[in-house]
Amino acid sequence: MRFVWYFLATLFVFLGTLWAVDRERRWQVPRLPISGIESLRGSAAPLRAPRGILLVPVHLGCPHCLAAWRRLMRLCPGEPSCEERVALLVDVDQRPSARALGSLEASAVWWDRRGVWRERWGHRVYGERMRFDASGIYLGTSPPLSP
Amino acid sequence: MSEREAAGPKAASRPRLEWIVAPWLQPFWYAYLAHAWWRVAETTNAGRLMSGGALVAAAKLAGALTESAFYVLWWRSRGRALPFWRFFCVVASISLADVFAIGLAERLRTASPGAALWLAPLVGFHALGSGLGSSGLRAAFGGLGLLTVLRISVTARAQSRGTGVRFAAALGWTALFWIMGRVAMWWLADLLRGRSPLPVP
Repeated sequence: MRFVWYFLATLFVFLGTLWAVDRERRWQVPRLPISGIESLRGSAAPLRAPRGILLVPVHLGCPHCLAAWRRLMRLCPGEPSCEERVALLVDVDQRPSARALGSLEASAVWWDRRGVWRERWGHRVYGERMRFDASGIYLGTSPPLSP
Repeated sequence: MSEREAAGPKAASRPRLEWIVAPWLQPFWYAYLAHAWWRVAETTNAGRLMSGGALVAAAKLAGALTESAFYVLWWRSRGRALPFWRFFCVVASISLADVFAIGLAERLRTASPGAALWLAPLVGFHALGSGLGSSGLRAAFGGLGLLTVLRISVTARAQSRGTGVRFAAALGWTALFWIMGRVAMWWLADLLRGRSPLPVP
């Protein structure tokens, strides 16, 4: 029985250590253009969009974030004047096939093949909405669009 | 908090935790609890994110089973017996306080700021909006209010009756485990979100 309590206490300390280490990491402020980005559809640098850019990290294997993306494409509520929306494929090691991309309804799709979104910016939630102004300066992030 | 401290003068008397719901009524009672959780999940973000209320109701049931098993094992390791199903009945039933708190917080979204200020001590500071604290901290402690205090107290009272330990000792352990659980939730939420905002109230 004691083993269970020792295990739980160790797990608690381990989690706290992970949290403290993660908190101390220094992340880069997001900025466009992203180095090493590959455009799979549309231009890799649509920075002349006067209304700014809404960058949405998606994963083709995540039905929830794809649904959030579709809602955004249909409605785009709460986003001033509907900025140009770009789907950023994240956590994908290999270039996705044209068939896999076919399910993604988007005029601009970028592939974050170097893992900048996760490893340098420190973001981790698919479907979130990252806003940039027309010159690529980061304005902020909103949670994924709820149904 | 030693075992001697935990055992009060009444420890020698036979501890007794009664069924708080008659056994023949329990299938209907648990069905009602599941329905209550289902309904509250359907009207909140949790249900939308977890693909429906059924999953939330099942998760709450699993949570009550785990919590009951945790305390039964805890007291057993300290040489005290806590009847599992009777205690589970208390834990599952008092989760209605959470249902009430979440439902109230949901209604406060469309209420006046004054109403939110008055009801925040009851349902927790997440009723005041999403501007307070980091989203991980809010996910873990945002629901801390008088209804949570009530739930912890009822859980501690049931343990005290079931094991024969003093109420203060049971309350101390229950509060400690609740805080540790919430701190772990805070850390986990922060690790999962990184620099991303969480879709929580």
